[in-house]
Amino acid sequence: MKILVVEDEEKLADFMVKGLQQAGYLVVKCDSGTEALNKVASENFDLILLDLMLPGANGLEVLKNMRAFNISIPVIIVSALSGTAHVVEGLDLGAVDYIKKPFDWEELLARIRTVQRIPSAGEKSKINVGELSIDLAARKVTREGKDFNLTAKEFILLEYLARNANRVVSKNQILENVWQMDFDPESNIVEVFMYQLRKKIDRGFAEQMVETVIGVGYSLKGTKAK
Amino acid sequence: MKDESRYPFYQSLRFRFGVIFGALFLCFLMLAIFFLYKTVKNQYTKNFHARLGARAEVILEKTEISPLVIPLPQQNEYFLLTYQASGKTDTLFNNFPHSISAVNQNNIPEEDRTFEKAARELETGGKISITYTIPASELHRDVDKLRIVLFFYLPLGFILAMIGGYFVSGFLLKPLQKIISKANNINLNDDINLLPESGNKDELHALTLALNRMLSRIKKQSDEQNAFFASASHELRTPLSVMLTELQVLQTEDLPDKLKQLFASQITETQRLSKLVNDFLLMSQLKSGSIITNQKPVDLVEVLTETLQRVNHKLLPNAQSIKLIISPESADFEIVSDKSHLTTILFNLLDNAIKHGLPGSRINVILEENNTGIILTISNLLKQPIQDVARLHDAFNRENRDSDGFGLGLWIVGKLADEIGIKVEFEVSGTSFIVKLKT
Repeated sequence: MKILVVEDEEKLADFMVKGLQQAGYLVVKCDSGTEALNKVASENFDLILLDLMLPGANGLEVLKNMRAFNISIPVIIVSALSGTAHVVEGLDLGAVDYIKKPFDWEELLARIRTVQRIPSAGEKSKINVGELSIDLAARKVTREGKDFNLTAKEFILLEYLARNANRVVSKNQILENVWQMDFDPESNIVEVFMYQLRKKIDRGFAEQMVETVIGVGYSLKGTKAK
Repeated sequence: MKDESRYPFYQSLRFRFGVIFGALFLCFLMLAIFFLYKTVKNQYTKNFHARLGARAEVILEKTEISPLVIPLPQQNEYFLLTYQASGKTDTLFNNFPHSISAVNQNNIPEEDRTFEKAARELETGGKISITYTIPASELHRDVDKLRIVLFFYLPLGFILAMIGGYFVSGFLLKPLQKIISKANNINLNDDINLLPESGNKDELHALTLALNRMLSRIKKQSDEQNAFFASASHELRTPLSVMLTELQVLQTEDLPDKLKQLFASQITETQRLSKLVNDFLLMSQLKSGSIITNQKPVDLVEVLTETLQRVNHKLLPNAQSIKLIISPESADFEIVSDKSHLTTILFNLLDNAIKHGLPGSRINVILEENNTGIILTISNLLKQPIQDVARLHDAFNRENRDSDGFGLGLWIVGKLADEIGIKVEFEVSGTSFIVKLKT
């Protein structure tokens, strides 16, 4: 995975590069908005960590330009500006996440791992299970021509089930892979999301795709298409 | 907040004005009534004597000597008739119960001497004299009545004057009331609305001007303070980011134990400083009212799980775990709120629960919907007992001095919750700390 770090504070950029490299990522850094746009135009990245207060074009302008040129690399904004207005504007311009400075390194890594699931251009971007079609790039789910409006977490859950279609996955596996958290086993978070997912993709259809295997876990059933 | 400008009515300026009005009026009334009483009483006495005189004349007129005719006394009538001729006095008639001299003593004041004397010269020579009286009880009754009526008007007049004074002063103090209610509603967070100056150049106008000048000064200082907090927080963030990232990245390297310990402690302190800087900024925004809210439909389950993921890495060092129960599973937990502020609230509460939670214990997070609305309960066992739950809302109150955080956390939670219309309740039950968020 290749990450572009756009950060004008030299020392911070250096340590971010160092830390990300240690975590096993390929990292390129630059220190201005204009340079970032040049880099993005000439190289392929899987993720951009973008500061907002930058010399040249500021972070939000970089985002706007990227969207204007249809460059859909996931962007995490890393900024000292913490006002709701900035967060909203950044997320509206298509950033996938917003981390406020100063941040915990572990938290940044955790958020990068979340983004890793979002496939970048070029990767196979569709999973089909039976009549269910999951478009990973457009984040769209359709079944027999019907579109579903899933929340981000529901989408990740469905994606995980689809990647393991026709196999039974345990509650713990789901917790680890979808939430990357070790909840107390008495928690019912998985049940809740399963209920919502079922309500959305199974209600009104003859065949129920989400199956509960009592005592074991869950399974997404369907003839797996190519 | 307790409204300290509420007080019993008898302490009000209006009531005092009323009493002063009443008291002054009472003095004048007493003087007036005293003179009135004197005059009317004199008049009553005069009339009574006139009546006696007239009746005595009538009796005298009807009395004849030869042949002797004496009119009979009517009920309650007493008189003494004497005939004087050639130096000799004869009593013709006397029905006085006592000797006349007893009544005729000089020690009785003249106006109380209820006799009337008259005399008639006869054509035949000689003189008939009469001393006439009827009991003065009627006169006394009339005077008593007058006294009662007049003295009854005294308290009535006082009360009426007081009520009148109360209302008149209320009317006069109305502009003052306006200034008070306006001043009560002044909020430094909004653009300060100076008090409206009255058209009349009176004392109230001067008061308004003085208050307005004071408000401007306060507003200016408050603005400066908030601006300082905001800019200082922004400026401090960049170096703190560098420090924190540097330390945390270096910590992952293979280092001697001593250095690792040093880094770990430096990281803790830097995190503390970072949180403080963030809290200061948020506090200044909350205090200056410059915080922006963006109310949109938000899925509570989603925000909650995202926040739980963010604090997840803090659970490990103290071997804590989180039990998340959502009930009922089929409920719709979508509310209209500000996602960013909601996240800050949840983050602060969960962070607190972890920080102050008993190591190795479980933190219970229960999201439930019932007919009253949605309730989110976060409860944890406490490392140390909390002394005063009420004080938790105060800024800069910190229960646990070993841990980071300067007690701004819960204050911020409370204020932010107000901003986005969520109710927060803190409760300590035994060794547990319970926070409830209600929509």
